[in-house]
Amino acid sequence: MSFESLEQYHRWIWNCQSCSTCQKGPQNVFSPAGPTPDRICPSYDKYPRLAYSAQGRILAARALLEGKLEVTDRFVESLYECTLCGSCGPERMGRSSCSVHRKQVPIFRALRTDLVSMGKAPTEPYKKVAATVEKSGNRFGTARAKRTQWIPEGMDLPRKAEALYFPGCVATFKSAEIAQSTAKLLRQGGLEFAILGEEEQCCGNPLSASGQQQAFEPLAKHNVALIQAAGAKKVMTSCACCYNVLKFRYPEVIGDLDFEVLHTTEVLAGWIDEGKLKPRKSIPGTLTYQDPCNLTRVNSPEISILEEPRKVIRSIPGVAFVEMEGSGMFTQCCGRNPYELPELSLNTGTNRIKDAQAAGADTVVTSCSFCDWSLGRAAKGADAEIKVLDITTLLSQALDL
Amino acid sequence: MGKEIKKELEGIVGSENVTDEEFELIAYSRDWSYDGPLQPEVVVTPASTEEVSAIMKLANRTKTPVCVRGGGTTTTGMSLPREGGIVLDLNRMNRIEEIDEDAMAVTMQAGITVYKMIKFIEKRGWKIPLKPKFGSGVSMAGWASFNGVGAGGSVYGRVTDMLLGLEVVLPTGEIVTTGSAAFKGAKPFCRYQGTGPDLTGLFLNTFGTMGVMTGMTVRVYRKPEAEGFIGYGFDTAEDAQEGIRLLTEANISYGINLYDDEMCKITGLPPSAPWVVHMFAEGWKEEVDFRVKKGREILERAGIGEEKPKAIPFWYGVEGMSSRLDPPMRTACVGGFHPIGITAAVFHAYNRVGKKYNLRRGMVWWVINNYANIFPIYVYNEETELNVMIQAAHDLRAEWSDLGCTPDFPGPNPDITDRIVPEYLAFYKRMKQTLDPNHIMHRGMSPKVAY
Repeated sequence: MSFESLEQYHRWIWNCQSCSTCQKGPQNVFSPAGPTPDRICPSYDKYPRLAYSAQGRILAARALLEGKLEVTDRFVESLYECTLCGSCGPERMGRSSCSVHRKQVPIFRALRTDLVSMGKAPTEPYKKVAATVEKSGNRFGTARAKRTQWIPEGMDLPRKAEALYFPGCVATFKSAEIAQSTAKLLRQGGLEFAILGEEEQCCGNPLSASGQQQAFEPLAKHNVALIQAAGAKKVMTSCACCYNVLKFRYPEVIGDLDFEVLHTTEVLAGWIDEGKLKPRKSIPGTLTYQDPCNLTRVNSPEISILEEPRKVIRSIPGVAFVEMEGSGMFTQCCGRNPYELPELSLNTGTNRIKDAQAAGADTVVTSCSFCDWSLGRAAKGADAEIKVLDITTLLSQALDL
Repeated sequence: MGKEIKKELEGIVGSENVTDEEFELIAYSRDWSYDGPLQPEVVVTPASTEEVSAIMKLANRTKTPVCVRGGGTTTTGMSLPREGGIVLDLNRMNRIEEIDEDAMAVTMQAGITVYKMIKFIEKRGWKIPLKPKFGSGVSMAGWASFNGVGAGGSVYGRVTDMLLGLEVVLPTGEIVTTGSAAFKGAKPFCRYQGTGPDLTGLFLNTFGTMGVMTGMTVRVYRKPEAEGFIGYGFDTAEDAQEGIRLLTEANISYGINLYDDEMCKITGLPPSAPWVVHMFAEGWKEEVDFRVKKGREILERAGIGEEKPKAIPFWYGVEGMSSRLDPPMRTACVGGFHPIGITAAVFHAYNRVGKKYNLRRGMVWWVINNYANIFPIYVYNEETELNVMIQAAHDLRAEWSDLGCTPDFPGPNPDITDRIVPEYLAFYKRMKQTLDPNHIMHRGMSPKVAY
């Protein structure tokens, strides 16, 4: 067996101290009562045994590299019971207190990639998603021709422009209000932007995350070629997962991109600053914000989008804004994979909904289609009613669009 | 281990809480030490004292080795199974049972993490005497089993000193409560009472060799109004030693720490002097101001050290023991205790050994009551320097023992059995044999006694 990808992380794997900081919080032990949660790892929270923590997975990785562990189905399943939220590897108090630093997610990605190469992974749900994406270009198996059905009536969106909006599968097929709100907001800001339309394909997130690199690369190349053909220099996503894949995963297989990738909150916050967007309609309520992992720690401290979404929310009249325990770089996972990991996702999302309720919020705002999906699903089972809204939907309501 | 034992365990805790999958056992094969890999044959995660009791009865009957594990944050290897058997993971036993504000006591399941408990009581305006800073997974059971320390030790001592009683499952499965709650109708409000010797102490600093701590009560205080801090730099280990001696003698501090410049570099703090002493105070505002002022006066009167107004408070351990060096390195800690009067000699021995093996190093002391607890680290690359570091740890333990230090743990690594006075060892063996007749608990730990 060859663990070519995993070998790159040999030194980090060997030097994991098994210190437990990847399992339980609070992340800031200097101030336990501070706003960092007791939970760190969604997987360990659901399955409280070490094999379901970063520490256990890294020890397994070491055993694999040493030839001391046989790959079994149960082992593979355990590896995939992880949302790759990166909570195991953030910095605490502005510093890493872990000798693996922030390499946990790259290690897990590499391990999955190697196992897929050996034909031992991924798990069935990920295989099904990959097959669906290959057949339909999206994770839901919806006909390609329906990719543009979300476009608001009367809005004509070109296929070529310097700016381009990439809505992604969830906002296109499942939560069309996100794509619609985003398009209206971009128009309201006076931006001429294009979409890829029927030709857009899944960003590749489920394939990249599950280590299916061979299936991921053609998707990445397809989308990048279309973006280039559209003449786009700026690509905006309303989904944090798409953002992460376009900005960080595509260059890994394609090299440097000749366009910039932005999250829509970066654009919208800038326009609010400039006075281009002036939310006037009051939205009464107590709102909290779910930082998507893919806008925060999964990237890097330098490319974390923390302030922009808060600026957008605070600009809205009538809003009382509260922070949940675990925000910003310490954010807790939404559950992310309602289809691939239904139980883990529900448990994780339910915990997050409880965090929001404990903070006194009646609405959770997020800026990722997957957070919206997963938290929306968890909210349905909540004891008290709580709304889940994408930030673009909230802002377009406040602008009466 | 026979399959029937696993089946019985599943009958006790449910099959979802028992595993013997290879990848799961590997996850338990290391802790925050340089030891391992040492694998159990089965991992069990009970949720209640009754389940632990049933497991212990089974283990005792079948003479199956048992190793109790909390957060695995010990740097000693104590949570590793040296002879296979069962690893008893207490992490599901994480409930706060009661906060009794009248008795100023909080009762909990012992698998709860220290920080979760602190967070719970802090939100209600309370604090425990000590402020620990270890890996966030450290459990109350682990902390007490270690008889651990924390900032605040200068006035409050060690974990021992804040316990009001334990609930323990003996190796033979009986459930025993110690402290005032051993008296019918009494709550756990006081550790010592008129029913005989202090049996709480029997389980402290034993790392599970005498039984499984499943519950405990800890005294709490109202959070102080103010905290204060001064930092002083010293040029030599001898001056620093005199500095902490004077501050300890004055009995004005909540915590006193000493660290060397190498520890600053490793942990990313700018060293402000070759030796830095931090003194902390807590209490009412006026009281804190007074204590800090007195500390300053004492050091200035002695004519040693220089105040470092920009010093950053650094009284905790985790940064020192969890390296953030790039490329990644591990750290090994071989701690111990010593009288303050040999602080400089202890450091010189440590430095000598580190230099001999060419290991990067850093050292922190916490003053506990009238003595010092050392946290020395050697930094090493697990891939290439493990054996060098292990040899250094053994050399260091030997040098320190010769100086009159005692280890801060009863083993297993390095083994300290031959350093123990024979009469004490014989007494220990009798106690151990009484409680654990089949010698199933944490086999391979020192003091090593055979029966």
